[in-house]
Amino acid sequence: MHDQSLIQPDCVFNLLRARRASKNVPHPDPNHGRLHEQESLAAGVAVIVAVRCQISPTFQAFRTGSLVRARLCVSDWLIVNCRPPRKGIAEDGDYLIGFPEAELGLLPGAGGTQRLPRAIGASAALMHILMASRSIRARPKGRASCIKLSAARLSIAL
Amino acid sequence: MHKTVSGKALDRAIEIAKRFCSFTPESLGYIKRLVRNATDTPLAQGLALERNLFMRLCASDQGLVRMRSYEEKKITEPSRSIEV
Repeated sequence: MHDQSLIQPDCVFNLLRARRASKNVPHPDPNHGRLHEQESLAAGVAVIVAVRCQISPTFQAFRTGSLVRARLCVSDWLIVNCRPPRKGIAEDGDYLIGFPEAELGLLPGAGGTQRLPRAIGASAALMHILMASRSIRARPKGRASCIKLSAARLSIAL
Repeated sequence: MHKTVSGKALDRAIEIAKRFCSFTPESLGYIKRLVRNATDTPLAQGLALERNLFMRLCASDQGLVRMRSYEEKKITEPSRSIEV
């Protein structure tokens, strides 16, 4: 089992390696990064869905590689990544949510693999991470107690 | 993972197996390891291990290729929906 002392050197080394590798492959479109960011903000890029509500102001948004993500990093919040089914985002309606990390060869970070099993059990967590990563259709008043943040608030955070 | 299906269980099992095969072996292995150990280990210890494995996957060749494919919208279209 790993402990804290084993993490930092690996993380720093791998992060540098990943950044270096990414820089070695330029995107054919010189404006790609900038356009991607603008498009993401305009579309709201992500709706934060929380199960087990305990409101906290802690909000953290970050970007890993090319995948723009937003998360609430609070212990009692269970967060999944999601994206609107079409461009533009509405306050009410259905949204496609899920964990895309597995399809990307990653794993749900920021507590995704730790808080989800604690909240709903290991079996259900595996199903959500491995099977429902394609999409979940969530309704505003569904059983998941979805909480949506508006695109404007996300833009500020990002 | 436990799942109740309508119709032939074998067909659904093969479908699930095919989906698992679409993931990278490292990613699938790490996810299963982390999720199954989550309830047996303290949260701080689990988060530490998760960070370490996440960064290892981020720097892997397959992870970088798949993230670039995601950006180029090659694998963004959902093929199945679950209503909750």
